[in-house]
Amino acid sequence: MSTGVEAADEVGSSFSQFKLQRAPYNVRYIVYEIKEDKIQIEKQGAREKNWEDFCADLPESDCRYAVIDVEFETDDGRPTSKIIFLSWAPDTAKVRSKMVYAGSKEAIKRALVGVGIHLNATDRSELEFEQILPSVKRFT
Amino acid sequence: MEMNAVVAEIGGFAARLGFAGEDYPRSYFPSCAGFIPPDDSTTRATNPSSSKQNNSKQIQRKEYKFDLGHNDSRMNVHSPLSGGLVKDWDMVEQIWQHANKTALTVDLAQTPLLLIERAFNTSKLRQEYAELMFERFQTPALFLAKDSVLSCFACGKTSGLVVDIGAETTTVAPVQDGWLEAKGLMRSRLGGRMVDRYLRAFLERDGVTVDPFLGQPPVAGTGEGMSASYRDFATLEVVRGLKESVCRMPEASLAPKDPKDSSVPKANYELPDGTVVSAGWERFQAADILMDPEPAWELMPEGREEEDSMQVDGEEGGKEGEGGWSRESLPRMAATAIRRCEKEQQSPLLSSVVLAGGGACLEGTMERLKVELENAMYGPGQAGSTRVKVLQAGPQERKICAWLGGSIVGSLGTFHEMWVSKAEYAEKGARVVDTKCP
Repeated sequence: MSTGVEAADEVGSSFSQFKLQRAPYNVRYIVYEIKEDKIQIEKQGAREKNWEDFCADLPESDCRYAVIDVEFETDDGRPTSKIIFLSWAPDTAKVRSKMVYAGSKEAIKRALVGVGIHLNATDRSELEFEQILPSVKRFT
Repeated sequence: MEMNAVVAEIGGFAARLGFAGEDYPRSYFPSCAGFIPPDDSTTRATNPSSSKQNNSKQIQRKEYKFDLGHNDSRMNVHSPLSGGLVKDWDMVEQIWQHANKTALTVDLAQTPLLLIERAFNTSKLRQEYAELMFERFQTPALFLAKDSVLSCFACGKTSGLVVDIGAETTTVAPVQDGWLEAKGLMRSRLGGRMVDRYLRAFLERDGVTVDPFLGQPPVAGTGEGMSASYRDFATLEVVRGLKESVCRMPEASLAPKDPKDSSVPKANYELPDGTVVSAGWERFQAADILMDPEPAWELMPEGREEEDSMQVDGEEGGKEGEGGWSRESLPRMAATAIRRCEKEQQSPLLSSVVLAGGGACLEGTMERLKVELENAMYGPGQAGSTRVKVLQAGPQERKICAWLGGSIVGSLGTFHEMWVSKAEYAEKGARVVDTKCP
């Protein structure tokens, strides 16, 4: 079941450029919000920003979606990067927010063609890089 | 469509109807109604010689009372559901009329509806519901949504194991990316009502007879006492008040306790007739049957075995996993449901167990479920592991979790793209609900 909320066109087109790191989407991450019954881009984080900067850009008590280009080292020491999709639904968010974001997830996943890694976080502890990294590596 | 949609969830114990976009169902009343058999001379009788004969449909229509506060010994109490599924469409129709007359006061022929259905609802029943609403109430549009999926979303998850503890039924439903995983779907007779029955048995053991009508003679009827069904319902309602006030879920399973054991602090509660009940271990033992149901099965009302067997035919559950009835404790039932899913689904489901329903409101239920589920999945002594995470909505929202999810979906501007219109129903028949509301 879904909410019927759709992603704005910019979501899909910006993602294609993000994957290729083409301007203006040669960024570290993009955060999406649902506004007026549409999924749209809320903000972006410049290339120099890191994981902590991304977490700081997520609201305390409201849900968001995001795509992040995560750089890390594989177990055999090779530097690599992967794009992950993250669903942020903090426990403290209002029921309405949780409901709408959960029910619209399929719509944004459809627009973000080619993302293989989908993660969820419901509180700040689940966002810590040490928590996220094992899941990312598992998909590599 | 300018009108706010009406969101409706009819359970075996309570009906919740209200407007999409609101935080609480405006109409929330017991769906168990009183029914006075029509062969009583004071109700509409079939008298062929009477010149005031109504048309035959009216004579056969049963009339239900939703205000069960008065003592009428002719009255029997029925639930519109059996085993969680609708068995009496007449009652459902009257529930709608009652809700509309007393609280909603809208023109249903102008109002789109969001109907919440049980996870294990059958295709036949969904079509019958659509038929009732389109034909009898002339609704312009409707949508059917599954309660487990709505509860899961309302807690922020698109995937999770939903454990919905209701009054007469508990459902365990794995939800994956917004879809029900039918192979893991399970039902149980355990629920809030079983706790009420067990608590009532404790009272009777202690010589306390619950008298819901305070010794008053019946206001109507033969005066020979209440029907068994009415007495049962009314006494359980009194016991429910006691339960909600004093009962708690114990942190760990309880060995049988001597009722005279005074090591647990007692809680006092005054019954409507003035009797003060002092509850000790019973406060915990009653709640504990959700985790250890053996002592409770003998309290199951008669006739259920028959109902259970009726569910097995055709496409209605009863088959292993697909809405089949379990006799295990709730944590074991949850573990069984998980094991029926694919291996790679299991860990994510365990880390997103969603607890919902009125029966989940006793303090300590969430913590105990986590511990017992860990024991059931990984063996005893695994408490404190991070592999099982149980979430629940806040205390006001837990009882109405699925309804709240429906209220939110029904208030979105995009909802009107989802529903089945009367025209589509007329053109394609009731089967259209299966395609448009999968």
